[in-house]
Amino acid sequence: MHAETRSNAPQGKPGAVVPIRVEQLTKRYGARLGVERVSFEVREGSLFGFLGPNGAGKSTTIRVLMGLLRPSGGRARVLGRDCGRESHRINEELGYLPGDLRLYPWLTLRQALRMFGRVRRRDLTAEGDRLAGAFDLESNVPAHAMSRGMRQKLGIILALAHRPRLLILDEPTTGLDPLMQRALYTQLRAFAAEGGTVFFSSHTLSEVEALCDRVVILRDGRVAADEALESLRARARRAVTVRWNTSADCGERPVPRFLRLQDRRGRDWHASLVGPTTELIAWAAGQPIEDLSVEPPDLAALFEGYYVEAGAGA
Amino acid sequence: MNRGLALKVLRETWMGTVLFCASLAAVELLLTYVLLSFFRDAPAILQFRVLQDVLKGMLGTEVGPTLGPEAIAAITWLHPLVLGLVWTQAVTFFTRLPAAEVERGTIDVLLSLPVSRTTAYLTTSLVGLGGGACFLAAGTVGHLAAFRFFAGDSAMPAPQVVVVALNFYAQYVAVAGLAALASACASYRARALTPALAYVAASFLHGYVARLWAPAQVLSPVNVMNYYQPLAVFMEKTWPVRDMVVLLAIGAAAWAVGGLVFARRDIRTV
Repeated sequence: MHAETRSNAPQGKPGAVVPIRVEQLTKRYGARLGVERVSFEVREGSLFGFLGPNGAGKSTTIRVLMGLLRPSGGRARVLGRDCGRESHRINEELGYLPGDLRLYPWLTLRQALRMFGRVRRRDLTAEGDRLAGAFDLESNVPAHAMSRGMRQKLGIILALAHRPRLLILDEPTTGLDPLMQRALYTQLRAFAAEGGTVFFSSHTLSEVEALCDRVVILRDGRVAADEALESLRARARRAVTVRWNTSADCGERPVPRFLRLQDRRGRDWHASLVGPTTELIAWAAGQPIEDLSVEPPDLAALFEGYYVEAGAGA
Repeated sequence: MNRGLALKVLRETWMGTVLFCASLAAVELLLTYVLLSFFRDAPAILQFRVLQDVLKGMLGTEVGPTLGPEAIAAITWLHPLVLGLVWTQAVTFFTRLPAAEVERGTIDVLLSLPVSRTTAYLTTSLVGLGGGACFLAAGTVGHLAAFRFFAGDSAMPAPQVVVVALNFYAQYVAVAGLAALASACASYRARALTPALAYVAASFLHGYVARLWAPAQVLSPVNVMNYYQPLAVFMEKTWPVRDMVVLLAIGAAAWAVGGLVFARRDIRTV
């Protein structure tokens, strides 16, 4: 069974340019489906998560946004322009990190800043040096001698160095150690705080959860959810463990309507909270229980739900 | 044309271009020296029927009991080694974008820059045409130097050599355009190189066969060798305007179609 598709995307201000607007986007590779009728919008200044398992269609969508693939149907606009026809104009204000970053083997950070600066007709050295400091990247190591993580850092610096309005990052933390991941999050938060928009694609919930304020979940080439992280958290269930005083209590007590019992083991109930926490507290006060623990909202379970349903529906 | 992108292409190709230039100049120099020495010291060898057929296939006309400086000069511009060098350079360079860039995955970074596909294609091609011009200029210098040093009074007049070199450059443009078209349709360089090299190799062989076997001439209009006749230029001392126009038209048409294909195609990861 497929999860119900939700789309309560925010509406941009009338007349304002929406950084990314995708409408009924379909891309087929011959008989194989890439994405089908995908629609979403990305607000200016937001950190937008684009989540889905491998093969869900994230990179296909991004390649359409970058003008690398032509849509089979629907349309996609970036910074108010058609991505197929005007990608070179869009790229003046766009920074992009591909999912499978490949760089010219001879390219050092120094050469890259000079070369990209010439093509973009602006000096990238000052911002590039600042970012190199933030990401701890040497400027004279050629790409062929770099580790995967170093190349990724170089790609991130090149995406950011021209101070774009919009960043499209496809799996940007690949190859980065936790320290550098945090450095990236810091840069991206600062970028968004200054009004920049980040489109952050990932298959890892935790990094989207840590960084983004809104998320689209893609599944089998279709949008499975399009919601603010806050609203997802509100819908996510909390895991509850109730330890009764005796095994008899554990076996005999009726389950209240705001708990969904998953397991009775020894003196413990393992359940998920499907109602307000206040009701749970009020109920627990009158029960013969030894201990009660309530976990934070379990987003992972919620996302797993989308993926499992995808598998079931496939 | 984007200057930054042109410098990037130059950065990647200058060494290869210099090597090709040096190789062509050296080959022209050595070939001229060897041919002049060989046919001066052993003219009797021309009486062998097989050699006469080979030279007829190469030059497009019967050769007499001796070879004049025009015929020797023409051979140096038609020798398989020279043709192979020039075609290899043209095909190698003009399959860079998009085929080689897609294959090595750098096309994503390239097309994330504010440069349209058409500008990228045009810029790369202009650098390639510039490299080709340097390349054939180096060959011309090698050829003229060899005749100056080794042929004495029978040196070929420089204007005639330049006309042949320009005719050869027009053929270079045709081959380059066809290679660019093959590249525009491919996501792997080998898939672009193979048809381009197969075409020039077939042209070379067909050129020989058609001069020895008349029925094969039916395919001559589609053979780039048909529009490149150095001996006729040396003998008649005229500009092969029609041949050059045909070659440039082939190159321009193939290049333009390649540009349209590249501008419209999907760029997928490979």
